[in-house]
Amino acid sequence: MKRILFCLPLCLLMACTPEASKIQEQLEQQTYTRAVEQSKQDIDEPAARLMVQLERQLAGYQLRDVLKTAEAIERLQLATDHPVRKRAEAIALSAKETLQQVKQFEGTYEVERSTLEDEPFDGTGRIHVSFDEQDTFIATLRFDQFGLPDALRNDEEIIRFEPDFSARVNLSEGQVSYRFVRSTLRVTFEGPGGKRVYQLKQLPENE
Amino acid sequence: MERCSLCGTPLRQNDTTCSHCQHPVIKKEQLADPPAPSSSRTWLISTFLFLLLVGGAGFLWYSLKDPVSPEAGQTPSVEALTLSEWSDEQTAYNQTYSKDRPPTSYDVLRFVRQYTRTIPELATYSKEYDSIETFSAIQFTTLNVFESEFKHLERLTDAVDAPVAPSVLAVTFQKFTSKGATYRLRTQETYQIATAKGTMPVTYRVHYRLKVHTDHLQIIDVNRTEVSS
Repeated sequence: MKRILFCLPLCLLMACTPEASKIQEQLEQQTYTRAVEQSKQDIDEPAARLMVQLERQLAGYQLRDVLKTAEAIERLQLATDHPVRKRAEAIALSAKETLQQVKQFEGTYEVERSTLEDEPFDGTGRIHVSFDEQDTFIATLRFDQFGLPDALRNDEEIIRFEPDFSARVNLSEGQVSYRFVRSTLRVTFEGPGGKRVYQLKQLPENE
Repeated sequence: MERCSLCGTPLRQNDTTCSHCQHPVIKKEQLADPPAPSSSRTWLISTFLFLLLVGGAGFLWYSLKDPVSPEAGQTPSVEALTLSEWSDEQTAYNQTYSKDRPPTSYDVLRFVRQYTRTIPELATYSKEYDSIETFSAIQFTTLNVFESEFKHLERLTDAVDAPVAPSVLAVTFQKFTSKGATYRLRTQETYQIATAKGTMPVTYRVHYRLKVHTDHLQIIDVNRTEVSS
């Protein structure tokens, strides 16, 4: 009798505590497609579905779309500590920070210093940089009288950057790498002729 | 009646020693109030525990039922993801999984994104000079997928001898589902190839099927269609 009396409150507590659903477990594990698969009638189904969409957009580096989907998730009025809400907020923060950087890096850059194997040489010109609206890291670089005075480049190139704002492009012999750092763009040609580095500085907008 | 603790002889009320063995009598301290019967004490503890747990359960039920936590309005601090969490800094091919630790949705997407980067290299495979075993040792696709890919990447394989090798330009992930342990993913992939007139994009619509093979992700089926160039 005494044992039953002791067990009764525990049984009551167990009965009152809702069993953590399979869906919630999958949302916590970030296995969102599985959550969608099993959550046809579940309250968390819209959240899981939107998370799949959000992660697809993040994987494709479509950061503007990421922000829109994150806003849709926010409108679901999930609990502040809901795993989907937390993950969506973290992704949105990353996207916002990156888009701010993209905005800062867009503009016109002018050669400030150029070296060939650490010895200065007479490099010149400008590069106009703009990033794609849809694919955040795809940039169009428009070369304007850029390079060596006897072989100036006046063309356009579409380059896919990495999220750390660096890119490598293969050449017929060697490769060229690009890297944005604060308000500078560093272009490095590596090939049979040695390592040629152009350090470009971003010009103020009105120039 | 009290008895001698040594020999058991009955004692009178004021005895200081035992009348039989002379063993000194040690008087027991009398409690001011007799102890409550043990059953009453059990009831008291049970009732207290019951009320405590009912209260706790009620609070728990209320906080789980309400979509907004009691600290509504106070947004818990969420930090942005680190770059390695969403970029290709981590190599997806090295990741291992188990039934208890399945790949996250993003793990699957990142795996395919990194796979697309190997496509230009895959296009360089030469039946004449390369050994298929070398490629089959790479476990991120099955041998059938590798052979199927090689057959459908004709535009890229034709361009591998160009001065500049093909490269991946953009990948969009269009539909992503799972059924049991199998993942299905539809992508649109654009690669750049060099031509005499400059670079030219080649776009494919691709359907992938993936699953965890032993402990790592593997592409088990690919359906690649060129949509534009």
